[in-house]
Amino acid sequence: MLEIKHMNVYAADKKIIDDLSLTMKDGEIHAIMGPNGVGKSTICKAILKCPGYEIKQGTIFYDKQDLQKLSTTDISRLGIFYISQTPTAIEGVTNAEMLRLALSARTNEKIDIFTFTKKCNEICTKIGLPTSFLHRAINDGMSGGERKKNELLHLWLLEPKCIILDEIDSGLDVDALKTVASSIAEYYEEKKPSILIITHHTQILDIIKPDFVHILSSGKIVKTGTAQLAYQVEKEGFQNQLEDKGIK
Amino acid sequence: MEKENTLKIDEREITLKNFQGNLQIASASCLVHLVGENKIKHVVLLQTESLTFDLQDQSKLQLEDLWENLPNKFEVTIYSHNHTELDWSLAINLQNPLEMSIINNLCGNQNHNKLRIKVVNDTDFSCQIKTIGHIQKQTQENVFLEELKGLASKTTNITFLPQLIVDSDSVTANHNATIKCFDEEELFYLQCKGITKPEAKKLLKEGFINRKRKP
Ligand SMILES: Nc1ncnc2c1ncn2[C@@H]1O[C@H](COP(=O)(O)OP(=O)(O)O)[C@@H](O)[C@H]1O
Ligand SMILES: [Mg+2]
Repeated sequence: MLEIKHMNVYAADKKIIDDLSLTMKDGEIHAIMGPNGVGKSTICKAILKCPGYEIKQGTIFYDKQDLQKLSTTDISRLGIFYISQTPTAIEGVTNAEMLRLALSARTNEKIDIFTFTKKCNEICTKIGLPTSFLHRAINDGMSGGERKKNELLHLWLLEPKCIILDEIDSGLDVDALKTVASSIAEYYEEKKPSILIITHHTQILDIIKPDFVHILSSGKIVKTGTAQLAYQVEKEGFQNQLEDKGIK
Repeated sequence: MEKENTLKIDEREITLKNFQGNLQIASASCLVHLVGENKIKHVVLLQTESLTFDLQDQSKLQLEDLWENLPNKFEVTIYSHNHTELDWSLAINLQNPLEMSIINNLCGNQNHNKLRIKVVNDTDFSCQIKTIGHIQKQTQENVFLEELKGLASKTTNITFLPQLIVDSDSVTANHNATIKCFDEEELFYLQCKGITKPEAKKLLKEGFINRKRKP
């Protein structure tokens, strides 16, 4: 269970998230929607303890562990997996090098190269990524869609229990969106992780069906509802939802 | 697999002709004359303070090397006479303080010198690399290209001092030097995959050193 209580997040001395609380039980899917610049990405970065983002008030616990006391590495090893809005490219370091290291750190044993390659190739085939990508530099020279699929390769291999997706649908064409979303839905069916999904669009929520939808405005969750709320927002815009609440 | 050929040099002067393999230099100063096509993979400097490559007319020297154990202070001087080719890619993974000078003298005509140096410094040691490219008077159609790249834990612990002295009108010369720090975003990304910070730095270091130049 991921439990955020009364969290304030500051970046560059500016308060961006203000008294945010959110509880996500194991196996639940939560969506956060909200206009640009309200702090959606900041929530993700605060959970992962990204340098430059400071939590001045409140707590974040995952599986009874205080995330603020852990390093980004340890948070990841707890099983929290984050796909950022624009996955970082790393020149000179291949997927294979990084993944072998990440995997052996998690399992505490060296995995043999044959099992590793076989598993990666199976995943690549499943998500429609050429197997040659395994030996390419991480996200380097890859298109937006390829980067997201590349991140899915990492996801399927590292088998997280809690997934944070920051606008994974942005910049994807219809087909790529379907492939990416279906793959995550399939992962959900198999492993039942909890998922926090940040999006502007309902297309992805048609495939990865949320249990709860939250509307974020000025760093606060101002409304929570079922999947229905997402469709309402898409139809009527955020402003309507906010006015509804007396927020302008 | 072919056995690696390593030549151990104790002399102060030696001539290599169509040599392929590794060099191990034990003398304090060494002058190496090069004739024909030479491909040196690895140079180990034991006590060397100064090393000179003398490229005879029509000769070629290709040197692709990773240096890990270097003397703290030394100088490499290169003389290129006529119609020579030098292609030197040097990667240094710093493990001790380093003060190195590379002096490239283009003395004749139609020489083609290419020097690329990459340095990683994740230590607190200082690293100073001084290069001089000297295109001498009355020479024709020389090409001199130099690229210095550094990756450091803080920019202050690598210093590049590139200098170009051009005494001829007929030359193509270009040099550039860049130093960057470990990228916080890249480190964060790797840590998000469950890799520790030291391991992430190691990956980035190796990636930087082994990275082939983009065409
Ligand atoms: N590192 C930072 N330094 C300064 N301001 C930041 C930083 N990160 C985010 N912000 C600011 O915080 C606000 C929210 O940003 P973000 O979380 O990226 O919004 P969203 O993802 O909802 O579009 C924006 O005004 C943005 O400019
Ligand atoms: Mg964002």
